Amino acid sequence: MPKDNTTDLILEIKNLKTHFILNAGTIRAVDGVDLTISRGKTLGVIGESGCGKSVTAHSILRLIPSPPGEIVDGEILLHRDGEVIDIAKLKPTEEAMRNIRGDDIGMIFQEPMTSFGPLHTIGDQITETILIHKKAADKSEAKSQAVDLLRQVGIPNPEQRVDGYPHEFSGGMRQRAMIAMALCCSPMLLIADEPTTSLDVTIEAQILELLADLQAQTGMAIMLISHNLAIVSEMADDIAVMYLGKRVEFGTTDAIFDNPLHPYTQGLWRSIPSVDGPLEKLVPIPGVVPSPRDLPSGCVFASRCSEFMPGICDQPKPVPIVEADPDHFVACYLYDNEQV
Amino acid sequence: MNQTPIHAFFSRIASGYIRWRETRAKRLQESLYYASQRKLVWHAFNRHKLARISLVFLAILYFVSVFADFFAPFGPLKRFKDFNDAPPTSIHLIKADGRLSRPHIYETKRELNTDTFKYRYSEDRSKPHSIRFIVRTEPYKLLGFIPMQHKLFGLENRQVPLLLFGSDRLGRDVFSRILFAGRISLFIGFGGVLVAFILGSILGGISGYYGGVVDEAIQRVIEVLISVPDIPIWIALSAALPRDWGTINIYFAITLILSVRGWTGLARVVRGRIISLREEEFALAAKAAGASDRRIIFKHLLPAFSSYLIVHMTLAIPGMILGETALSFLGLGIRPPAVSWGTLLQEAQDVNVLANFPWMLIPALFVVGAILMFNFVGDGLRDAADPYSSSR
Amino acid sequence: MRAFIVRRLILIIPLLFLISVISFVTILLPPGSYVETYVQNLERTGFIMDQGQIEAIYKQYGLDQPAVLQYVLWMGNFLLKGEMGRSFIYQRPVKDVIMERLPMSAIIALASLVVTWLIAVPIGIYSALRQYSVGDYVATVIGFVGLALPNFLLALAIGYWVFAGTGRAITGLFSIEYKGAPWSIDKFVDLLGNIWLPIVVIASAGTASLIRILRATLLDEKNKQYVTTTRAKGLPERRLIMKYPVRVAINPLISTIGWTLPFIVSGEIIVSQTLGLETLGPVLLAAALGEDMFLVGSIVMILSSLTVVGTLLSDILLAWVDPRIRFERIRT
Repeated sequence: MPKDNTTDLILEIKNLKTHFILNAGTIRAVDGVDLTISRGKTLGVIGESGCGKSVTAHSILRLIPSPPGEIVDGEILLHRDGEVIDIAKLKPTEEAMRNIRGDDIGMIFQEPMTSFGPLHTIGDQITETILIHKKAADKSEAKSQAVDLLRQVGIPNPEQRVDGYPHEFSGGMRQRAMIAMALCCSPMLLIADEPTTSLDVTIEAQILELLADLQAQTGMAIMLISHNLAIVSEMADDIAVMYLGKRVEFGTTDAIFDNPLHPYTQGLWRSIPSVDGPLEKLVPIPGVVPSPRDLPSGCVFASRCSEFMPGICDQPKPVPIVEADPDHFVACYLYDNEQV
Repeated sequence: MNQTPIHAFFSRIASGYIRWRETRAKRLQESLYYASQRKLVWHAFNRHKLARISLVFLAILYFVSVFADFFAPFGPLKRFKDFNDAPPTSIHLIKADGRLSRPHIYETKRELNTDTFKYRYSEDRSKPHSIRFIVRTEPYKLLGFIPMQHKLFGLENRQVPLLLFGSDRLGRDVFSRILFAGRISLFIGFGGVLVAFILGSILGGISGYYGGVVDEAIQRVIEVLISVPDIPIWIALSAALPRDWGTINIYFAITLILSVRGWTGLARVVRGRIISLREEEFALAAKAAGASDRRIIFKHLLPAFSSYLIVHMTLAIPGMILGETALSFLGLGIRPPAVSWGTLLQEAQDVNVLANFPWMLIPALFVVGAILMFNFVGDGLRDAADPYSSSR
Repeated sequence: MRAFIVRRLILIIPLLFLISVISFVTILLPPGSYVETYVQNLERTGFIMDQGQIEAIYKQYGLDQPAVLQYVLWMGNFLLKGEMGRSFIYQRPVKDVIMERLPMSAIIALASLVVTWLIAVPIGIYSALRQYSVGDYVATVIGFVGLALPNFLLALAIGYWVFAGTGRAITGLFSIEYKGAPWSIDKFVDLLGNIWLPIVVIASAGTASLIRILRATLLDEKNKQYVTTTRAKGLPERRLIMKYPVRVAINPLISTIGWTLPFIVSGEIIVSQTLGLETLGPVLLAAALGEDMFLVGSIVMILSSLTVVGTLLSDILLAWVDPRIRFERIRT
C-alpha cells in the first residue's frame, strides 16, 4: 500500500516530534510518528486518550499553541500539484500555512457545540472561508455555495438555516454544518478529530455515513482519529495504532484486525466485546499509562506488556520498526529477528 | 574517596539537613492531605506574597490606630499656637559638629515675610531637642480606661512642636491626626460590612430559599439599589441627619448609610449559591430529616460557602472606606471635632492650600494605601478560596 | 427583538416607581418640615412671614396632607407639568435649576463612559493577547492603583499639578471671560479646552475594573474551540482575534454599563465638586448642606432615573449585538 503508489500520496509524516515545553518538564506528546495518507483513502488513527493522536492532527495544521507546544523534529510533507511542501518548516502564522488550512486540508473537531463562533451566523462563517481562499467571486456567490454545501450535508431548509446562529442548531446539525465548513474549499484531505465522540449513537452513524458518501463523491482522503475501534474498522482503509506518542503498529485495516502484532493492539482487541464472535471474557490491559513527563527510554509499553522480555525491551534506545508482513509495520522486539 | 574528618563531619550535617527537609516536606504534604478547608485556604493564601505582605501592613495600621493614644505624639485636637500650616519638622541624625548622634530636631521659628505677608518657618540651629522613645507625658487613658503616662516617642519639652507630617490650619499635628482618624476610617468599613453582611445573608438567603413572590420583590429592590448611583443617595441621606447629633450617632448613621447599597451584592451572591445548593443532596437530606427552613439555611447552606462570603466582605471593605472618605470630604460625613481621613482631606480641597501646604495631602496616601492593601488581601483570599479563579 | 424591548420597558416601570418613592422619602426624612426650614431661612435674611403666608405655602405643596397624598401631588405635578417644587436656596423652581445644569452633567457622564471604553478596551485586549508581557504587568499595576485611587483625589492631584505647572487654578468648565457669556464658537472651544480633564478623571476610575474583566474574558475566550476551528479555516490571526474572541469578550462589558453608569454619575458629582464644575454635583451638595430637600430629592430622582434608563439602553444594545441573548430572552 503506502510504498508502491507514491503518486497518490497526499501527506507523509516522517518522525514527527511535537513536544510541550513546560516549566515542570517537557511532555513528549508526539515522539517520532510516521504516517502516510493517500488520495481517496481513509487512515484511521486509534489509541487511548493522551496517546498523541489529536496532537498529531493539530500539528498537521500547525494549530498547536506555541508556547508551550513545539514541533522539535520531523517532516510533514504535503504533496500538492506535483510539489512537496514541508509543513513542519512553515511558521504557524505565515501566509503559506494559512493557504493550506481550510483549502488543501480541512478539519473537523470533537466538540460541535463550541466549534462555531457564537456571534456570527453559520452562513457567515462558511462564506468567510470560501472568500478567504477565493473560491467565489463575491459574497452572494459564496453564500449560494454555502447553501449548496449545507444541503449536501443534509441540513433541511438550507436557505433559511444559512442565516441561523450556532445556538439554534442541535449538536448533530452543528456537526453537519462543521463538515460543510471543512469541505467548502474541496480539500484534498479532511482531518476528522473524534468527529462523533460527543454525539448520540444514532447521529454518530448518520455523520459517519455522510463522511463516507462525501468521500465517494469528492475523492478526498480522510484522516479519522478515534478511540472507538468499531468506527475505525468500519471507515478506515489503513490503521495506525498509537500509544504514548509513538506509532506502535501500522497496516491495512484487515491486517490490523485479523492479525494484530503489537501486544498493545492485541490488548486493545481483547478489551472490547465482539458482537458476532463467541462470548469471551473481556481482558483489560494491566497497569496504568506512565506519565508522559518521564517516559521510559526503551519501549514505552514495556511496563504493561504481557510479553515483556527483560534485557531487551528495556534497552535505553528507540524500538526499531519492523515490517513484519508486507505493508504491516510494528514497533516491537518480538518481531525483530536480530534481537530474538 | 578519601575524606578528611572535617569533610565527613560536614557531609553528615548536610545529609542530616536534607533528611530533615524531606521529612518536613512530607509531613507538610501529609498534613495538607488531611487538612480542613480552612487550613487549605490559609495555605494557598500564604503563597500569595503580595496578599501576605498587605495583610501584615494592614494589621500594623489597625494596631497603630487602635492604640493611637500611645503611638501618636499628640492628641488629635492639640493645637500649637503660632504654628499654623507649619511644614514637617526635619529629623537630623548628625550633630552640628559632624558627629552621628541620636535623632534630634531643631526648634522651629517663625518669621513674617513682609513682602508676601506669609509666614516663613525655619530651623533654629541653636535649640536642638533629642527625640526620646517612651517619653513621659501628661497622663491620659489608653482606649479610654487604661491610665498611662508615656507615649512611644516625643520630645522632653512638650511645648515644642514635633510635626512629622507638618501641621494644619489650626496648628494641629497632621501625623497624630492621621493615626486617630484611622480609628474611624478603618473601622467604618467593618461596621458597614457587618451590617451589609447581616442584611445580605438574611435577605439573600430568604430570596434564594423561598423563591416566588418574596424573591421577586427582593430582586426588584436590589435592582433599584444597584442601578442607582450611590453618592447622590448617600448625600441625600446624610443631609437628612439632624445637625445636633453627636459623633457616636453620626458614626452609626454613616455606617448604616454606607451599607444601604452594600448588602445587595452579598445578597445576590448568597441567593445564587443557595439556589444552586438548595437542590444538592445534603440540603435535601437535612430536609428529609425534618430540619426547619431556618436551620437548613443558616446551619447547612450558609456555611457551605462561607469562604465566598469572607472574600466578598474583604473586597467590600475598601468600598466602604472610600465611601466614608468621599462623604466626609464633601462635608456630609463625620463632623468635626471627630477626625477621619475624609475630614482631614476636606481641608486640602483648595488648590491654594495644596500648592502652599502639600503635606495636607498626606492622608490621601493612607487612604490609597489601605484600599490597595485590602484589594490585594481580597484577591489573595479569592484565589485561595476559589480553585477555579483566574490566577492559576 | 421588539418583544424583548417591550418586555424590558414594562419591567422598568416598577423600578422607576421605587426610585421616585425613595427620592420622596429623602424629602420627608429631615426633622422639621420643608416649610419650617424655609421660614427659618427667610428669617435669617430678616424677612418675617406671617401665619397666613406660611399656611399658603403649606397649601401650595400640600404639606398639611398625609405623606401618601403629598407623594401623589409631587409626582402628579412632575408627570403633568414637569414641576418638582421650589428651591429656597436658589429661590427658583427646582425644575429650572435642574434643567440648567442637567445637560452638562449628562454630557460629561456619557463622554466619560465613552472615554472609559476607549481606554479600557485596547489595553484589555493588549493585556490578554500579550499575557505576562511587560505591558500586561504595567497595565495590571496601573489598574490596581486606579482601583484604589478615589477620583476626587486624582482630581485634586491633577488640579494641583495644573496649578503648579501653569499657575492657573481650574475653576470650572469655562474660563472666566466666558462664564456668563452666551453660547458662541469661542465659548465652545473654551469648553473643549477645559472639559477633557474632568472627563479623563472620571473615566479613569472605571477603566481599571473594565480592563480586568475584558482581560479575563478574553483570556478565556481565546482558548476556546471555536478559535481553533476558525484558525483551521485559514483566517489571518489578527482578523480572527478581532472578529471572534474579542467580539465575544466585549459583550459582557456592555452588560457592565449597568453598574459603570451609576459609578460614573457618582464620580461626576464628587469630581465636579472638587473641580468646581457647573453641573448638578455642586448643586446637589449645596442643596444637601442647606437642607433644601425638594431640590435634593428631585436631583436624586432625575439622576437615578436617567441611570436606570441608561442601563436599559445598554441591555437593548447587548441583545442587539448578541444573538444568544436575543434568542434566550425572547423565548422566556
